[in-house]
Amino acid sequence: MRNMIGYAWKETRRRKGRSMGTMLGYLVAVAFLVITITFAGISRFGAAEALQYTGAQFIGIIYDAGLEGGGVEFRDAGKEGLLIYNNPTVLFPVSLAEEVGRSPNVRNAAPLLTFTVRTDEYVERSWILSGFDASDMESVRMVSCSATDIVEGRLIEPGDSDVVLLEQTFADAEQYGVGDILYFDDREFEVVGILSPGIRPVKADIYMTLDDANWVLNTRIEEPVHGVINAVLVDGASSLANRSAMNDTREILGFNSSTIGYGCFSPAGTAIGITARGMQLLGLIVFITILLLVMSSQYYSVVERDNDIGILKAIGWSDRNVVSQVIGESFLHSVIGGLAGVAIATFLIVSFPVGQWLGLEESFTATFDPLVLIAGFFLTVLAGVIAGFISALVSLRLKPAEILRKL
Amino acid sequence: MRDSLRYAVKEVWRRKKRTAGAILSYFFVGAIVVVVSSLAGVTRDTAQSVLWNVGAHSVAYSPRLTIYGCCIQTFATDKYDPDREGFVVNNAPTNIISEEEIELIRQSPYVLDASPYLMFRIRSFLGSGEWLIGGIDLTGHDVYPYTVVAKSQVVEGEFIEHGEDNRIMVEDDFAGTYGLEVGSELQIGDFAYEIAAIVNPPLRPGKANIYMSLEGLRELIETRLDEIAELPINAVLIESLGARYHDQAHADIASILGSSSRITSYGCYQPSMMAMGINDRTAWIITGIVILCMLLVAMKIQYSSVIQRRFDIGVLKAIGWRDENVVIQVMTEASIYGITGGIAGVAGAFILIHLLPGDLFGDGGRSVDNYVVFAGLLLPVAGGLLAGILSAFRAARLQTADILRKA
Repeated sequence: MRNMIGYAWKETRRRKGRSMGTMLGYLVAVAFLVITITFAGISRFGAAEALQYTGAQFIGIIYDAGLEGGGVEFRDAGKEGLLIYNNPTVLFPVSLAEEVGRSPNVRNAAPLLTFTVRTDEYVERSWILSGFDASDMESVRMVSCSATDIVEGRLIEPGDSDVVLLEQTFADAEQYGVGDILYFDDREFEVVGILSPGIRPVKADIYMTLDDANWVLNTRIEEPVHGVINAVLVDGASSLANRSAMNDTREILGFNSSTIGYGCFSPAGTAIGITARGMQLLGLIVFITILLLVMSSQYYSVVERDNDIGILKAIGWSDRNVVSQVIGESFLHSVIGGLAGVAIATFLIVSFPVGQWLGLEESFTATFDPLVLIAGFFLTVLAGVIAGFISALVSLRLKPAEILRKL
Repeated sequence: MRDSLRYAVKEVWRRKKRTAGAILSYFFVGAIVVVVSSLAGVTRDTAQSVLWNVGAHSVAYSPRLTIYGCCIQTFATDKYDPDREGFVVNNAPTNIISEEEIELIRQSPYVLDASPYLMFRIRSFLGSGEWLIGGIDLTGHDVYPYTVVAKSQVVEGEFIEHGEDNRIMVEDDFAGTYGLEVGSELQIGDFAYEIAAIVNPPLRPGKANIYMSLEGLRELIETRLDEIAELPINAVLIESLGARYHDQAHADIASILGSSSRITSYGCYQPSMMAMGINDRTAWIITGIVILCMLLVAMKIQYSSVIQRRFDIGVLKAIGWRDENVVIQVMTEASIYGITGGIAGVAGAFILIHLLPGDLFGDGGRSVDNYVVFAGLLLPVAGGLLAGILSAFRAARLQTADILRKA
């Protein structure tokens, strides 16, 4: 073994140009393999990150099919009620929202109380109120997808009370602005922010804390209620799991339950799947074709050396020695070329802002899958050695006299 | 030149194993370029075809002030219940939009299509609530499937057709709440409508409880108003050219409808755009990497070939060949290898692409871009020639005696 590597090293040094060419081939092949597969992995990760939660938000409700007031008796039942998209709903305990949150397909579930109220005895317009748990920022994010949806003012923060957010269309029509006061039963509520009129699972005119909404509700009904809601805001574990999350929610809420959510989780999930499959297939094809290229390249290198092999055999080298010599050289070249390729690929990916080139967030840092580095290196070495072995065997089948005659 | 070609062909035939090795290596170079670039492009295009119009749907309207000057404005000049009935979008009263404004929106380069939409809130005729009715223009502008309801979302019954002004579709939850079935009649105002379908669309900008034809709703509205509105429209359904053009489309709509107008849309277009950008850049970067690396590999193949054949070159020079003859001979051989390997590689890539699973390919099918084919054919030749020139010149510049001594 030591002799084999020793002679291979001697031959490598003696034939510098040829050795450099072979090692350069391994270097490029391994670097290409590692860079392409890493890029494919980063792209798959980036697309999945961007689309992971797209459209995976919905509400779960229970309809009041009997039109019985949802378990509470409004004083002005003709104009007020637990209406969601004009459909009457029923109250259920907050614990059901907690149960929904425990589903493996659900990332977060938050309680919501939403109902329609008459403004006052002079102006009989109906306003839609929604109360959410301000200490649960995930639910705030769902009601107002992000802070960028605030067109003026700020979001409701944990600990806030007697404050409201208004939908922009409502604020326009009713001519309210940030700092204005809304009255419910003589209690003052300050407008702290105005939301853009984007599509949300829950559309209301006025958003407030769950406790405040409960207080307003109790001023409108005969028997006060506590610890109850009529909707659960659900954040699916991902767009891929959203359909299962909807099924789980309906199952937990039981009879007459329904979910209302976006439709874009479906194309988002499909696109994640397409990107993942495409990039995995691309990685696999790159892997296989590069190994074949390495093998063909190594074969080509050895068959060019028929002359050398003929001379070695003519001076008395045994077949075994010739094969050992060729394998030793292949091994040496592939190890040196492969290591250089891995090093260069690592250097290039770490040095360049790969994430930013792909449009990922600035905080993204490229990480390597050690499996790609290890598998890329070892399989390339293996392919080189196998190709060297096969081509050496092919050359050995020739008679030294025939080889030398062709010189 | 003719001699060079003749000798090159002879040499190619004489050294069959070398020829096979070189062509096989160039085959892999050409195939890798075509397969990897195409697969990256197909992944990008397929994901893009799914994500292209995700979230790129909107409803635009113009809210109406509820208080004007000293006086309270009613939602409409409704003769029955002016505080609750009327032209409503997003639970807010709205102004009438003209056909000319819709036509201007259609002319925006960022808008694919726009169609009129009528939303009217009416007192419930079952129970005490309110119902929201959407009047869809069924005459040819296919915007409603993405903004209101699509034929594929029919749970039961048949989607209404243009001219069916006495038939309606109701939302699944609404039907469940009021116990409605397909074929049954629903009294709305002075008219009785046949329920043609029960539909279950996800959250849409034009979400209502009941859908009917635009003409049918106009006929109903006429009976609810004191002052007849001439062909009323209070919302525009808009489909942007794609998620990438959604912001520009919104800017154009706002400039046409005025600063007081509001646009309700999804937030999903932003992650869609980001994912499309990532896939797009990945495809370009991987194509760039594969072209660069395969060019280097092609150069390495030819470089190794010439280095291995320095002895042959020495013999040729010893028998009187001039340097330029040697270079032309090497270049011609490189061209033969490169062209043959490149063509075979591209053909092999086409076969491989057609063997891949069909669900990987979107609307674009299994087509391969012309520039990729060009690159697959050109790279082996270009790399071979480039390396051939450099190494052949280098070999030709050496002294014949030196070459033969080192052999």
